[in-house]
Amino acid sequence: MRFRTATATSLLLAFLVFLSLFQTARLWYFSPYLSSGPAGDYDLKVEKPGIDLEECLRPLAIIAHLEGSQHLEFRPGDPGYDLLWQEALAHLPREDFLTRVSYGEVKQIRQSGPAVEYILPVRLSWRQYRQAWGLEPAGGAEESPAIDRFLLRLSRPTGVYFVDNLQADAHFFEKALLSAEILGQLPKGAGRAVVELPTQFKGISLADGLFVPAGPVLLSGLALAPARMNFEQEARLFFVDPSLARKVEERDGAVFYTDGVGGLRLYPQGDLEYTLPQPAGSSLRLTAALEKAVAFLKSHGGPPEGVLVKEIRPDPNGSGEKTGRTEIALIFLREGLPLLGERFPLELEISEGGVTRFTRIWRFIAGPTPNKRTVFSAESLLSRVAQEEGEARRQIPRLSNIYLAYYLPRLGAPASYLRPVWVLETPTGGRYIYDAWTGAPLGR
Amino acid sequence: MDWSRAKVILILAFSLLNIFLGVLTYSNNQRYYERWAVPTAAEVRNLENQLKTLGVTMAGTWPLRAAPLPFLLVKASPVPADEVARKVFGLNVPGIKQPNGEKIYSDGQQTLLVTEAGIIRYHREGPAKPAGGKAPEKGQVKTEAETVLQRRGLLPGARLDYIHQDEERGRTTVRYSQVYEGLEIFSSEAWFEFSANGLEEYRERWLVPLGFTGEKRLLVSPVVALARLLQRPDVFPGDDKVIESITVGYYSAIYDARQWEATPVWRVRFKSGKSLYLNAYTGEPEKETP
Repeated sequence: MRFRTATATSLLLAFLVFLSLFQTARLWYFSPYLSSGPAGDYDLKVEKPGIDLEECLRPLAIIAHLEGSQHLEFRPGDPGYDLLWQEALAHLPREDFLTRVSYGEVKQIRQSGPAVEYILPVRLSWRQYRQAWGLEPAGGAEESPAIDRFLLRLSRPTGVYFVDNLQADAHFFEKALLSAEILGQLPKGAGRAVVELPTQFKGISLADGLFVPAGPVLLSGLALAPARMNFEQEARLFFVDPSLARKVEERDGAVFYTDGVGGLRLYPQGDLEYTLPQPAGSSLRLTAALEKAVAFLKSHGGPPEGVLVKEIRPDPNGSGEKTGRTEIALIFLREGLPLLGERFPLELEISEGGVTRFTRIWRFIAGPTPNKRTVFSAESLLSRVAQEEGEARRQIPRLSNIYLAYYLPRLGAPASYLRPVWVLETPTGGRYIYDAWTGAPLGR
Repeated sequence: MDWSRAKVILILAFSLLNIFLGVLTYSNNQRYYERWAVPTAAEVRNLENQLKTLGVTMAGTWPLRAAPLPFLLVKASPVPADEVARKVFGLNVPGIKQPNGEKIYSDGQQTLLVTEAGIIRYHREGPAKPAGGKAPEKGQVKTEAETVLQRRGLLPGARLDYIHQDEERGRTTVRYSQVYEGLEIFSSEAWFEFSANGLEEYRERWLVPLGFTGEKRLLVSPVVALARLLQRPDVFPGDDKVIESITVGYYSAIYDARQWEATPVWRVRFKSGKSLYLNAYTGEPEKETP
């Protein structure tokens, strides 16, 4: 009898153990609220999970103007860049600037030095920059004069020039700064020598303060690695319930997902287009739109390393009408140069409800190609452009910027490597792109 | 160690654990199934009253719910454009224009368009039959349509959806849709319009079902979906006041793609022939088509 009871309790215990395992497994694998889906081989991991607005709006380049008309350029990632940037953040005034000065003063300081000039990625008001950089709490008024550069004057009287280079406008804020000693703290040999272009070059009108490499530049292309896209994994980031999204396998290898409301097209190369129609609502504050864009990028694969805001277009339909939408374009840097093509690599349209449109042109970059080639100098390129446009009797608009970049192909287009290009920008946002090796036009 | 005492303690512990897991499973399932619960008679009555305020009535019966369904994988049916053109124009196939990959044949009296996505559109040129002309008889139209389908080779899997006589225009339309595993693919259709002169217009898009794909999911009840839709009365077609039927099937836009997934939908068909397609997973309207 005792033996039978012992057997029965053992069997009961075994049954209970089995039942608890079964119930746990059922909850884990079959619960509609716990299923997480398969993990896969996935390349587009979050590169910069902690990225914030300050990082997206840090200077595109910093130019140290040394005495004797020498200029050194520092780009994000270069030794010395962080030192100069942190120095600026520590010493920038938290107030609005009041004293307007002649733009000629800025030009003179550039030549005489010592000074450090910060070329900002986009033209915004000084208050917007202060809020984005955490120099004052976000949410306050955003109106103040626009700037696209500022310049720390390191000789007496020390202070900061706030510059709207596009409008040739400048304000000075006198402030005690570290002296020119900061330039002595830069790592030895850091920075690339650059020269300032004249404002008139063979009939082409150029903005002030455009700096290009001083000597011959050797550049390789960027080799591309084979794409390893996991479409399912990527789609999970875009749909609240990915199991409701149906899949369309397109003839070019792209895959389109839709849940009947939002749509996501993924290309094998890593590019994507996403739309989620939403009512526009009221217009967003610029910093709020930027925060939404950054938060979206963080939760949808992560922004690439070296990301920078390049353009912001509130109410983008051009009619002046309030659309409640803001377009934001971002670039990212590789080997110290931005990547862009006819479109920017990351473009978002933001409304009050969130992101309504997002395109990403992405390539898996393996590293520089083995062979370096000398690129056209800016002067040679401008001479060629002046000659060709002159022969074609085309008017060349005033150029607001000229810089080297890597050329991104069109959305979904195949490419084996990315070539270096010269990008010529106009004040209205137009871009002329030329192959930096051959000088051949690539797009406009 | 007193093994029998240890066993009693373990039995008690595992019993408690199992009760906890059981309650968790039950509450999870309750939350999940609540969205798809079969509506009560009172809910149906309530919906009918709401529809009445919009002047909409239900002529058919309410399907309360359907079995869980997965997505359906489909692809476009390749259309041999030249062969179809020979059947339409006989030996004198006119020259073709090919804008955007489409093939357009026209002899001035008849026009045929065939797309790469497998869509066929045919219409006869010339003045429309004057208003008030007698619409062809349903039986006659059905026979003529079936003859065309036979020549096209579409009869297997084709089911007569409706025949509609429009006496005002003197036209009779007939629509066939595709059936796969007992479920209609609403996106697949062969649509005819006849006048007393014969076939005036023909539209065809016929998909190739490749099989079910993904997990079976519960479908939202059409009563719940329609009740939700009433929050957006603009979705109801203005002149369609009588719902003739509500049926479950598959629907998707036609893509110029290799293959794609069609989603289960509830089709709300109005007496006028117009339809609303409600995503059977979410209840959201998919698209309104004639």
